[in-house]
Parts: sequence; structure tokens; C-alpha cells
Amino acid sequence: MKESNAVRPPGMLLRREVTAAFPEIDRLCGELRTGVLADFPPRERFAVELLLREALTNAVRHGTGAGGLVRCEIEWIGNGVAIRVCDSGSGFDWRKSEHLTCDSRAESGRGIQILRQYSNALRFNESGNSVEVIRVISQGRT
Amino acid sequence: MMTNFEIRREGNCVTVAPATDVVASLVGELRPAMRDLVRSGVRQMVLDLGRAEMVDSTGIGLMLSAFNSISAAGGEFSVVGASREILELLRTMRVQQHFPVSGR
Repeated sequence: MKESNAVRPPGMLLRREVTAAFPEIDRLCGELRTGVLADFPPRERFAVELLLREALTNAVRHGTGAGGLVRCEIEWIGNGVAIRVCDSGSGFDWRKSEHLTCDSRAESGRGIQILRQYSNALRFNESGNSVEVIRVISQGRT
Repeated sequence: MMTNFEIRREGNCVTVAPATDVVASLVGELRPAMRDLVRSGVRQMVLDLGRAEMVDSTGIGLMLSAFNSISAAGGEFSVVGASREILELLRTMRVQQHFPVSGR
């Protein structure tokens, strides 16, 4: 029987190095849905996958470049998850995005907005090639 | 060639139905097909998310792109079949103020 999140002790749920390519993101997320996230409530499973996707997509688009490697991990921290994504690229200027408000008809620029909306904490390193996203998991909400 | 989406025509309305998630990997394939439909004169387009479990920021960008080009040509765009989680995402990102979105 799977451990429920209510009793799960803190620890690493996933640590992986993937090639910077969109099909790789799909493959990893598919694996998560049926693996470590399978017993999360649907709303939380969706949110954690979405956060990981956006962090990885950001790394593919602005980070290491096609064919490079991206490291990612998901850690259970007792009351939620910490998602960490790091690439070997030169990073991007996340400070600029802090003050951006996306035009609701704009066709791009929502990745960081989603990271902010769906997380409880969002931290980039100085150079912007490493991000940590924290999401508290609501047990009772489905 | 196998595609990851289906296009259904009913009268003046065209429904685009992805067979999978509307995320960055699919958008590269879906965007030119939807653009071609608008260029060919389609003015009523429905995106059916009935088989999608996930939509990301790139997928939302695709919807806004389709809406922008169809509405500029005087047409209508809508989304149907969204899961509860996708509906919540689209509501959070305030896309429903531009075009109708309905659930499963």
C-alpha cells in the first residue's frame, strides 16, 4: 500500500537529469503521474506537475540550450514539496520578470506568472539558472 | 502522417481535438495547423480539451493566439471539455474574459 502524504516522512521523491527537450519533459511528467504523484489529490498532482513543467520549460527555453542537461528534483518536505530545477546555461534575468504584469491577451510570458500563482515560495539563484519552488499540499482538497 | 490531434468540421464550425496534453511539445505541431485553418477562412473554431489532462503556459499562449487571429477576422473561438484542474488554471490566468471556456 502506498504511503499517504499525511504520514510520509520528509525525503527525496525524485532526482533526475534529463536532456533539455520538450519530449523529455513529457516523458518525465508521465512517469510522475503514475509514480510518485499517483496518490496526491488530483488538484495537487496537477499543480506539482504544472510547476515542474514550467520550471523545466524555462530551462529548455532560456537555459542550457537544445541537447544540454537539466537536473531536477522533487523533495517531500513534510507539508508539501520542494521542486528544484537547475541547468548549466547562463540563466536569465528573473528580476525583470518580478515587475511584469502579463497582458491578458499576450501569447507568451505566462510561465513565471504560473510559477508564482501555483507556488507558496519561488526562489531563483543569483544568475537565474537554478530555481526552487515550494508548494504546500492541501490534504483535504480534491 | 500520424497527428496528435483531430480536426472535425460541422457546418461553419471547425473543432480541433488534441489527443493528448496541450503543452509545449504539442504546440509546435498544433499552432501551424490552427493558423492554416484561420487562413483558409475558418471563423468559428472550438478547441476540445476532452482528452487533455494538462495545459501549460505554452498551451495557453496557443489559445490566445488562435483567439487573437480569429477575433481579428471577425470570428469566434471557444474551449470545451476542460477538466476541473484545467478550468481552474484558465480562470486563474484570466483567459475566460476573452473567450468561452466550458468543462467536461
